[in-house]
Amino acid sequence: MTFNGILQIVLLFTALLLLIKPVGIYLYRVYETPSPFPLFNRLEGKLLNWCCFKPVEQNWKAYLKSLLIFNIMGIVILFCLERLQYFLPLNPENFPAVPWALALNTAVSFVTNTNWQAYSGELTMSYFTQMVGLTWQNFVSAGTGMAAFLAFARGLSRHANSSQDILLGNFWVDLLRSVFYVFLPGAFIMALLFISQGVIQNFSPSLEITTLEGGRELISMGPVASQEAIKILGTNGGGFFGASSAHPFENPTPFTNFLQMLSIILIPGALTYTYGKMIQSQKQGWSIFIAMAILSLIGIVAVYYFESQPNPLLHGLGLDQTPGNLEGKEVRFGILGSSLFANLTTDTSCGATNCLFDSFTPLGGLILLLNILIGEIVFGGVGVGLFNMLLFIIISVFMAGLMVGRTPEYLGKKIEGKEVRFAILSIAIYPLIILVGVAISVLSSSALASLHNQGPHGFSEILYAYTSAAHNNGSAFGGLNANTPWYNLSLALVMFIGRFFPIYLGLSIAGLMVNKKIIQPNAGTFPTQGALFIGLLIGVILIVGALTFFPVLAIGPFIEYIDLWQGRSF
Amino acid sequence: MKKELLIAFSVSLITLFFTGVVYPFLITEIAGSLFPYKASGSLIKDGQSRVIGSELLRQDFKNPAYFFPRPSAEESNLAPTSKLLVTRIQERITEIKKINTNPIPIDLVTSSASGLDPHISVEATLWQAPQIALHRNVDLKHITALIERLREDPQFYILGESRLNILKLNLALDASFGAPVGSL
Repeated sequence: MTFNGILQIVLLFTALLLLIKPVGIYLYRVYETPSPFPLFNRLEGKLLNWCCFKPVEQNWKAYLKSLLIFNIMGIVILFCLERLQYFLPLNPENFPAVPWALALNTAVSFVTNTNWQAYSGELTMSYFTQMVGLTWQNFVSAGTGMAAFLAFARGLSRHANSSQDILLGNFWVDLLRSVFYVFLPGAFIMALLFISQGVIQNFSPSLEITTLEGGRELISMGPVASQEAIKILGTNGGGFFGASSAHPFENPTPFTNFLQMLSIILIPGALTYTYGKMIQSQKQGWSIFIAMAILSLIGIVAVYYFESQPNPLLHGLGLDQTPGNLEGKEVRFGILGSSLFANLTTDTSCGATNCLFDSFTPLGGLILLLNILIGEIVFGGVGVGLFNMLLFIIISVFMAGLMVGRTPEYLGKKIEGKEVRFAILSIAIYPLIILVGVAISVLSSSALASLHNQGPHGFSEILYAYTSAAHNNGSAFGGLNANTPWYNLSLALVMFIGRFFPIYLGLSIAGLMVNKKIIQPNAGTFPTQGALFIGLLIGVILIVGALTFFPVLAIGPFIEYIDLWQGRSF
Repeated sequence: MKKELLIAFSVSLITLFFTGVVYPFLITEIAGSLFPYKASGSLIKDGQSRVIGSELLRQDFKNPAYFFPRPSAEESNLAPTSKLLVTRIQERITEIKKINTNPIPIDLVTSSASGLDPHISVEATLWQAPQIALHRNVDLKHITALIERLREDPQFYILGESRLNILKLNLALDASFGAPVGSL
């Protein structure tokens, strides 16, 4: 750990803090009806005309139905594009159709904002598929996340004194606004910034060159920057190349690395401010942000510390291991630039990587797993991060209610049995789909044949795969060969459930909450702001979110840690 | 339901057209006029304008008169407890330890994440410098001066690590001291 390293963490969080308010206010304005920006009003009129619908408010069922139809249609279109890429334009390498299991996995993966990749883009996907298929879903899956959050937040913040107010907004309007006013302009600026630093953007076929020494090497090309920008800003994470943000054409300088890290947490962080405005309590918005920042910083410092440690198995070989665990990391980012990126990409549902998580120290890798397992609520994915955080807040308020023995309320609305059951179920679904997937895989010899590393680390590879898929993260302990029918199909199913089941539960809670009467707060009301609340929330997240997984974490990373220090290798 | 499907389809088409076609083509156009060199891969050309590499990508160097990069990533994604990792690193150490008796900087024996890391640390270049001086038959201080001149410090004094770009460094070697014997 170096002074300069700490300084970079401080710089990143300062930049985030400065941007939260302006971006948060912008996001709030964007979703107001009618839009306060005249230009947007006109554009929106056109868009709605083209899409032939009227922006009527929807109840939770209608909202959910639109969301599901749109996403399932997205899977079908993306699947077809992948299967037909051989016959479509912009395929200079003449890639054949993507095999069907991989195509299905990838379609589900990009639609669910997971961007789990069982392939290397530069060897599998045509420029057309990357651009029209994958870049498109990068935008709209992020938009879907924003829409889910908006509906949930409206369910909590609106109240039923007037009859027109009891609805949750219109999914299509929320989606189009997210895509056209938030992600497109943001990605546009980011893409140009990236290109100015060296990220490529062209349609040339890959280039075979003769090196200075006379060797032959192949340089992959493509429209990278346009996809890179939204991959990061929409917390998608699917790289144009297999190496994702480690590839120098995706992330060429420490500055692009900084911009990428900032973009990953920018919108999820700013949404806490937007939420504060929606519920008319900036203090509550900031309290949520502080809880997130505390959890994030604990992880950052821990991973930075563990990755700065030398590998004990390499002692006595005449190596200078001062920098730390550099295996699988790029020199330009160093230990800090890699650990910080790794933390933020797992805090959120981004999953882009600029280093190899498989080569992380056991405890460094453990923190990354934990970041995802607690539900990616530390900033979280765009929209869905705060969405899941609100579910945790409902549980926290319920627990506080249990402790003092009175009916809990949140934002003046009573939280009753049904809401709590749904909130708990949305968290309990994850152990189910993760652990069942892991259990079947470790019992099947063909699934075990995919392992790249043996011993407890091999177990971690499988655990990480299902964790990443269930929480729609998309990063991997990349040694595992996931391009097999079993992993492609089971992970696709896990991604689908992990994405849409909690959205279903959250929206139904919103539907219940929106119709409740407002009760005036009294002396017994548990405050959902301030230090006590932040402490309780963090406690609930760690106990409910993390403790569930303690046994599997003991089998994987903890045993590996002990093995490492006892000098055992596999 | 039928109406919903129609809306879903038209929203899909509209968003697909703007985000998947207009946006990337627009970015490509702007990039081509504002940053043509960077957008096409920061390609370095020789005197006959043949492309010899990208300044962003690692290339292999075996000639002992050139600085060599980090190992290629043929065997990557290995856990810290992997036997394969330890043997791979030991083999690498055996290959290169005769160059310098000082401890070997860790980046020279570990592979990068992309396998395309164009950089090595300043320590790693200084560690290789005596061998370069020997094979090029020049004084060591000329080589260290070159390293000092080409070293890239953290961006804006704070971001990232000090490092050297191997391809640029080797091109500078050739420019200062001529191409090594036995190379093209």
